[in-house]
Parts: sequence; structure tokens; C-alpha cells
Amino acid sequence: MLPDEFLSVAKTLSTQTAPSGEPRYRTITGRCYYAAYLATRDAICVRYGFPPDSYLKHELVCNTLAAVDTDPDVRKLGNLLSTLKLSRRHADYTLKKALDETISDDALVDAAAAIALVDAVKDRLPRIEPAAR
Amino acid sequence: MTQPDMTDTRATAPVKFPVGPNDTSSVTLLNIPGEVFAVRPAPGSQDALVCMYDFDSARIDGNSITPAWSDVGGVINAYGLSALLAHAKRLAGEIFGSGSSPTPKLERDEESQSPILVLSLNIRRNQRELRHVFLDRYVAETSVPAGSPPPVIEWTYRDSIAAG
Repeated sequence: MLPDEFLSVAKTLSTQTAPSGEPRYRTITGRCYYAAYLATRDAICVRYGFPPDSYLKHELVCNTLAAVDTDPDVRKLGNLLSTLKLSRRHADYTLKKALDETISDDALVDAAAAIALVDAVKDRLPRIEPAAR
Repeated sequence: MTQPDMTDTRATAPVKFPVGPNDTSSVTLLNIPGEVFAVRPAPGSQDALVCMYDFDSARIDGNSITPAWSDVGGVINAYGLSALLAHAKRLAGEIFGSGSSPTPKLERDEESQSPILVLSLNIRRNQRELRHVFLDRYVAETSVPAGSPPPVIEWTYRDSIAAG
């Protein structure tokens, strides 16, 4: 399965009527983060010859990319991932705080932008060592 | 981590000397990477103990050490992020207008249990299309000091809609 397929599911959920409400928006938001994260992880694994499905710590991926001052595109990818990850945390854990459709719509836009950036910067992504699960 | 300013003393020739495991002072050395040393500002004056442990690579019983941030202002100052924050404020003002200044706050990562520095930007809903304009300029015009936690940008909207 390709990471983009999570984004396809998220897009489908966003355009169909059921499920509805917050569960729908929260699910879209979570799938968008994983689509972007997995696309980034796969690109790093391919570039550095790591085994497929290697575990790269989420926070480490976000922070490492977001700190690459010499490459605005890589840094933007890191920032998009960080924002998506924060939204995913909100979507999955902070249920008392409302999450409206705007957040899931933002996640769709940001995940698509992140995946496009992954393709553009795949040969410039920094090395991030896999970790034990 | 910000390095201590060893010149900030009234002494003309401060002496730096290592603190070892056989030191007779009441210093408990931790078995983690890094250096502990003392500074004698001047003959007869009190020594200062400086601990430069490497908490990024340190492990205690195999567990990593995570910072326990409680004051967002302290985090910004300690990591030298004031310039980044000031520029982000300027950018937000230019792109979204006054009243859209990023507000720093602390949250916690569910996976790593590490604290997260968040820059929360509250904008009008009809300005959402400008988020990436801000982000493009933010990544091009600011830099994250080495070793600092890159702030996470959060977008919130003034005219919230009810979940449908």
C-alpha cells in the first residue's frame, strides 16, 4: 500500500455524507498526518537504503526537517508535518476540545502539499536513523 | 543548549578545573555523557559548579531524559528563539494584519512525552488561503538556532463553526 492511499481515504471521507460530524473530521485529520508522515518516511528509507517500514520516530522526523535552515522546501515539509502531527494529536486525544471541518480541510491541503514536497526534495532529505519500536 | 558565558566575571583570569569522581567536595556526578567542571573566578572567591551534561544522548536505565518545560518564556530565552518569534510576529502582522500575532505555548507530545513549543496563530477564516504564504516566508526568512526545538505552528480561527 502507498502512503497516498491514506490521503485518498481522507478525501473520500471528506466528500461523502457518512460518517458525519466530529468523528469524520477527526478521522480525516489523522489519516492526513499518516499519509504525509509515511510518504516522508518511505522517501528517507529509499534514499538511505533502510528496510521498508522502518520506524523513524515521528517527533525526530518533524523536528529534524523543520530545522533544516539551508533548504526552505525541506524545512517547509518539516513544518507541515509538525502542524499535521499536532492536529492529529488534537483529533485523537483531546476530545473535549471541539474539532471542526476547517481543521480537517486544512489537513487535506497540508498533507497534499507535504506529499508534493516529498517528491520534490526526496534527494535532499536528511538521514534519520531508524529506531527500535 | 546555550553555552555558559565564561567571560561574565569580574576576575581577570578565572580558573576552570575538572570535577572528577574522586573529588572530595559534595558533588554527585551522574553517569551520563557530558562534562562537569568548576570555575574559580578569583583567589579566595567561591567556586561555581558548571554541569554540561548531554541530555540528548543520556540514558538512565535505558530511558531517555526529556525536559520538563513549564515556562514558555524561559524556553524561548534559553534556546535563543526570541529573534525567530519576533520575525514571525512581523510576518503575521504583514500577512494577516494586526491582531494575528503568534502566541507561544507549551504542549506535550503523546508519543515521546516530550514538551512541544507551539506558535498558535489565530486568523480570520477567510485568510486561510494565506497560511502557506506565511509558511513560505517563515521558512525562508527565519532560522532555528542549533539545538533548539523548532516551534510547531498551529492555526486557529476567530469565527469558529460548530461541528456538523
